[in-house]
Amino acid sequence: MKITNCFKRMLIAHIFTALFLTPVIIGLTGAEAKDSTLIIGIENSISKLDPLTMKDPYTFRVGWQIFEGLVGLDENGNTIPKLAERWEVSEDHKEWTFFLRKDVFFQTSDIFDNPRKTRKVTGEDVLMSLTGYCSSRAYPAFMLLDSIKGAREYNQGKADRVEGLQIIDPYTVKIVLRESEPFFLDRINSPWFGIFPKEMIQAPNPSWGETVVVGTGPYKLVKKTDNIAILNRNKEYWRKGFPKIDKIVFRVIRNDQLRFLELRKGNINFMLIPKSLLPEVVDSNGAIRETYKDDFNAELFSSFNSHFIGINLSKVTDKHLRKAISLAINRQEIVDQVLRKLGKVNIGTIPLNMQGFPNSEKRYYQTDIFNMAMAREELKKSSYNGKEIELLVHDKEGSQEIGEIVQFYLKRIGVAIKLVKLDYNSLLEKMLKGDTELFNFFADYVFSSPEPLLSNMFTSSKIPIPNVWAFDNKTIDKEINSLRHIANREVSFQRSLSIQKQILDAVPAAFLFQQRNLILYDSDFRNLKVNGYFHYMLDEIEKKTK
Amino acid sequence: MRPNRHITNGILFLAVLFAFTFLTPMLSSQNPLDIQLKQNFQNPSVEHPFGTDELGRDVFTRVLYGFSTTIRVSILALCASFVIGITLGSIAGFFYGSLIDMTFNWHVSLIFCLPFLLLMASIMSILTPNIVNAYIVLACVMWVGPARIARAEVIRTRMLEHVLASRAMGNPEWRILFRDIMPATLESSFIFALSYFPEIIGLEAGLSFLGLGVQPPDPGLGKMIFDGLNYIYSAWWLAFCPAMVLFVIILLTNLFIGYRGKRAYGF
Amino acid sequence: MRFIHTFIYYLSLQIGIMLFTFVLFHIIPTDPARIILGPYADETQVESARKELGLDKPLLVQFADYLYGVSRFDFGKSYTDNRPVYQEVCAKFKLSLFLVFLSLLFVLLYCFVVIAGDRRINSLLKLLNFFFVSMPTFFSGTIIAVLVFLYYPFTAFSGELESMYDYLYMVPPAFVLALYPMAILARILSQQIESISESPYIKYVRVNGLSEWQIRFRHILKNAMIPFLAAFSNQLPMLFTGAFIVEIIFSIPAIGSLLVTSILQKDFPMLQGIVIVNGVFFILINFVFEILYPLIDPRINSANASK
Repeated sequence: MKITNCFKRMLIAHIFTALFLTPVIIGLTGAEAKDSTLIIGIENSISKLDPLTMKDPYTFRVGWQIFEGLVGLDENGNTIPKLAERWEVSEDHKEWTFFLRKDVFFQTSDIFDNPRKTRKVTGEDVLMSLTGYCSSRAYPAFMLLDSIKGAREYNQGKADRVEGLQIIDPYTVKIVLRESEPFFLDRINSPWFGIFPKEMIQAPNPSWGETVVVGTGPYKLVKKTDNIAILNRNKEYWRKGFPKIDKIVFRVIRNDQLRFLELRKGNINFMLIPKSLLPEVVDSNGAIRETYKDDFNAELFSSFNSHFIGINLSKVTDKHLRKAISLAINRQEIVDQVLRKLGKVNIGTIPLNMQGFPNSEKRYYQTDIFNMAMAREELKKSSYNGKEIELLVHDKEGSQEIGEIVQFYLKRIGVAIKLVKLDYNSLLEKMLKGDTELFNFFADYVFSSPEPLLSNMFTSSKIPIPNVWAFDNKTIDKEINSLRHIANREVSFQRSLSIQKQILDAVPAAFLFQQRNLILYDSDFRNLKVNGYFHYMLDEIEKKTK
Repeated sequence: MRPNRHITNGILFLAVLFAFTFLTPMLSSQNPLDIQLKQNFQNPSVEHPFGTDELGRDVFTRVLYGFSTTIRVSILALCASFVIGITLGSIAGFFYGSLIDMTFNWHVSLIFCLPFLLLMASIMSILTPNIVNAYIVLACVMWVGPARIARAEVIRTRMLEHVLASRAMGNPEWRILFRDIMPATLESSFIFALSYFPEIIGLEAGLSFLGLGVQPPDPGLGKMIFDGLNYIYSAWWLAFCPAMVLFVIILLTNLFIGYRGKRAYGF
Repeated sequence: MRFIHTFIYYLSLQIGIMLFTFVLFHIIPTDPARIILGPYADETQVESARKELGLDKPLLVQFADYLYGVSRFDFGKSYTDNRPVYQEVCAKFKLSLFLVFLSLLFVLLYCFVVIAGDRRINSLLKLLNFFFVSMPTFFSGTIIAVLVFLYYPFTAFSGELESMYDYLYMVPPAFVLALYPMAILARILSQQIESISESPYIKYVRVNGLSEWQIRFRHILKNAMIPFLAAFSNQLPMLFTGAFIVEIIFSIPAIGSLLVTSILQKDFPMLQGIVIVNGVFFILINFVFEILYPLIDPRINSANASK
């Protein structure tokens, strides 16, 4: 066969094109073949991933990537739509209608017996999920029992469905509340109320939570053991283009120092820095040390937390003594030295970063927070006889140190404190029984506005939990109830602050500070967002391509 | 029946150590509970030979006081468990084969196979968690070790000639037990019990892990090591200094008792 | 006949263990129903949960129910997660078994060196071992763990023994676990060897011209075995539940850390399960060693053997 000139030219052209295109093709497929993985180090093993019974923070971390609720909270404190694309509220703030997105599919699983192994999320799933959260075996039930009509009756077994949860049409769900609640969304925007398939209630599966975990979130569970949880990107996630990371691995490394070593070696990419490692990572001004600046991003996040020395009002009845105790504690010094300035003194318990907090929070209460002279005066006015008061501390980070510091401060004004260290659960039990005098504890609030906070922590019907200080004041009860009728966020917040001031006059606790948490993660990643519930919103995090 | 050199050495050492624990707090002029927050995490220096801890307290003083508390209570627990163990074990061994012996064996096996931690934690949740209670419970659980050894030794020695001779002479049983048999068993049981000494000290720290044992803010040697390990990167002296002191104590214990290369006291 | 006698003895021991722990848990003033439901649940809910768990029945009835369940290998459900206790304990036990197995390898290796080695090596090793053993386990464990995580490449553990990396990960914790038994057993062994070496029997055998190795491993070792095995049987049960410090440092989810977690969470079914399995294991070891003693030293009649 004769090879013509024309053919030769074509051949050369083809070879050149191929040589030119090959690196491009290889580059493309290479980029696709390389998965981006985020490895997070956590400090204790992950228990059952059942949204109804999840209790501990480590399980939450994993579970909240898999499940989502009707609405969520963004990093600035705004409620954002999730499974519900919009909502309407009646005039009296008692009826909330949620219009669901029509394009959300559950993560693929064998529990759906159709060839695609998935199905759309409908109103019935939302109804079954929310009903499940009102049932007696659900841990977060206490959040809804006060609000949703008929929830309490269902919870106690007196009714077989929740009257206030109604389906209007396949993509519309209506929630009727017992009383008016202008900020109902701030109760349910917590990731605690993830929506799961109705099959979980109707045809319960014994592996639910262990191998069968089906939600609607950005990541789906691939494997879970005691030490590891592997989550893959949910390719059918309703938010197009997200998530950007292909795989998340949660590794359990219990020892803080070893976990930090793994971070520095690069075996894990992401870690929350516990108090004991703060001296290593930050200097005494709260700035990151030079050694870590290059390889890691260090970001501070404030969750809705409150650390306090709680006072059992039924045992420590002398108001002047309580005032003396509160005035003798130098909170700023604790924040500076123990937290290395990673925290803010808060004389009350309403978190300072809740939306609506007035900007001039510097001295929003014109009272002294720390004043030794006044403390001594109050002590003189009281009938304190020198008897030792018991201060209970627990074993989680920092509690013992704070207890020792408070004991020292109170000794300076002449109040004798006896420290007793218990483990976390025993302390909780004692608080439940009301068998405490002073106790060092903290609260991680799961609502993003002050009314549920005040009504849970300070109304007399909530003694002994969550009203752990046995605060009993009928006038305050009425005032907290009146918050339900204020629809304007700023006015409501101001009113909440003034109610808090009245509560603080009785000194139910010496509120210390709100802590800021430090997360150290590999500088290859960016766009980490964390909201006030300390939920890592990992659908937007991405890895820089080299 | 001369007391064995090793036992007298051992008892002398423990007594001196015990007396020393009353002196150590006087070696330092500072207060172990004195919190100076602004001086936390200071490196070891002339003013603070072992540095300061996370609350600014002088570690050297705390080690002295902690040494005092821990060693004192450990010695007492050791002696208590030793005395109880030897007595019960010898009696059981003496009546080998009888009902007393079988009951003893049964109870010892029972205590032995329960996880020690569980026993401690359960009992401490009923009593108040303080160091004295912890060591009482410790003594009640640790007597089984020396008891087993004592029993084995008594079984061995009761067949020996001098015991038979003593019985032939008409000595009452209890006299045989105390005069002839027990001295022989004392030595090996004592060595065994003494080898548990470092373990008892370490146990105090293990207990503080569960919140039993020395209560804050009092210092305890084991507790200080345990808490100090948290800051091993930024403040290595917090864990190393108490650990070195402990090491020296154990070293001295072993030197004074000195069973190296001597007759087998194996069990 | 004696077999039945031993069997009854051990069975009564096992039941005694169960009864003891059962009573112990019911003396402790906690409320399991409250623990399961969490602090926020209503009092009425807690009441109905209590009834469901059968906690309102008289103690004897509860114990009988429990015994019945145990005979069918149903150890109840955990209070924290509602997981079946039996499966959980068995799974963790397998992991513990492997850890102990590796530790025993280290111990046997060390004993081998003690028997076979010369004075200088022995002294050096003894010094090192002494150093590690004089510290509390969590201290030497943490130091070793930090060194391991700095220099050893296999520091990822998936929680189960699946890949080669998991098996390799277990080597350092096994080493730390072996430190204490190594010290004790080696000390006994060397004492025994020294004392037996001076006995006339060995001198006779040496004069006869047997090689040093033959002497050591055949003659001396046999005589030294009994006290060695006695100490060994003492140490063995402790390696399971007593390993919790090592397990917590290295994040190994085996029996020891399960014990600690269950204690902290007051998870009684799980604790009972652990105690039962531990008891069975202890009895098994006792039994095996009781059979071994007369085999090694025919002079020992089992009736005379000291426990």
